[in-house]
Amino acid sequence: MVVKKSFFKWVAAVIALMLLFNLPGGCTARIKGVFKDTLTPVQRIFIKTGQSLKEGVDAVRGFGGLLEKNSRLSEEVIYLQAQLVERENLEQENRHLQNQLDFYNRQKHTLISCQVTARTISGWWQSLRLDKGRADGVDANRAVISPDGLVGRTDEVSAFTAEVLLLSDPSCKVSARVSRTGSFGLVTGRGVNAQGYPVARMQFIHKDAPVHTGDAVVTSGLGGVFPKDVLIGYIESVGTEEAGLYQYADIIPKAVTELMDVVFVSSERENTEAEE
Amino acid sequence: MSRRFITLLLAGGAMLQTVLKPWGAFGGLEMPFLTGLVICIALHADYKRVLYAAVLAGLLHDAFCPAPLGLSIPFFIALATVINWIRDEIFGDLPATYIVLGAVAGIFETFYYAVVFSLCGLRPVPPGLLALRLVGGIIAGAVVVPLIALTVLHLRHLTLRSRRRLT
Repeated sequence: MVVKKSFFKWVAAVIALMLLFNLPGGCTARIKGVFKDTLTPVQRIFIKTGQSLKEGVDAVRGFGGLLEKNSRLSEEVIYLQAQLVERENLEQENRHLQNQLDFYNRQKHTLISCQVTARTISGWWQSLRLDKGRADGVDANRAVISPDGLVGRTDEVSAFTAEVLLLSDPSCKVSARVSRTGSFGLVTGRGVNAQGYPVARMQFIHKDAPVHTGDAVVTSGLGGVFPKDVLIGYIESVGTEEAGLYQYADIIPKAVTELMDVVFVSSERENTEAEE
Repeated sequence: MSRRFITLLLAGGAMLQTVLKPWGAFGGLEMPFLTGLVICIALHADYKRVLYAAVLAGLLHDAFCPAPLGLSIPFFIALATVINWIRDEIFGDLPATYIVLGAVAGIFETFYYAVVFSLCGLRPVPPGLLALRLVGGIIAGAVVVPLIALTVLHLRHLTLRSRRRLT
């Protein structure tokens, strides 16, 4: 009797699991959204605290280095050095923000600036999470860009968070062209290399196209998801596919490699502040 | 271990796992915090709570990645059930227990996801990547799981002590 009871329990559990697997997309997204929206604010606090700690440790390290090198220098010199470093940091931050503003003003579509709050929990996926969602106008399947170029596209969007599929993820595909020659191709993510850097490959390049290492690859604008002429990265190596019909080029996606804390999600609305 | 304690532990573990950078040298391997917590709970709680922890860990794992919801639940249930089942034979609150369980769980986790992703056509799993992740899974499991166990047991000890002081 006990065996029968536990057997039924397991059958019920398997049925529940099957139902969970087959829930409609919207329902799954809502359940996932509840988890994400609940934990993201706490996560944001964690990240901010971590950043402050890192800055503090960096500052202490800097002082330590200076003290070792200039042990004879007076406290006043150290103080002035620290002020200089602080000023340089401010200048750098200013340049960084100016770049972001210039980049924003150049765009034809309105860009929504988002903070990166977390990475994916599983290393099988190349994705990250942003702190803005439907409530801020972020939609699914929109381009995510930074001043360094294309980062990826939004995937699952909840009320207050958005999952971004990075350019290096195998399921992120972008229609692209080589900037110098105009040759078209399809960029597909290939995960990370042994050094931990994200990699992507441009496929289906015409076999006679003169493509070289160092050529810039940009979005073609075909397909409607990604805006035209956004930098994807630079070609690292070129090869010919086994059948010999096409060439392929391995790319280092610049914006993914140098990923910053702030990225922009392209929205459908036109940017009224855009520079001519 | 109370359900509230388990919930807080798993939520904290999930957050930590999403904040830390994946291990690039081993195919972007994540630090197995959730796996470590489930192992620790399976060794110290009754089966009902172990099942609760396994289901919650699976839901949290899938909520924070683009995988379909529920995909990780069978893995966590199988892991927790097996460990809970054999814990009287293997259990000794020693680092060696956690090192071995962590390494074995690392292999099992990598295999499970490789098979599921291949069968569902969700991810390409080249043999090179699988081998890298297997090696990484063993190392990460053997290093991270004992540390997690140490932290959890310390936290549990602290909460029990403060509860005793209050009563």
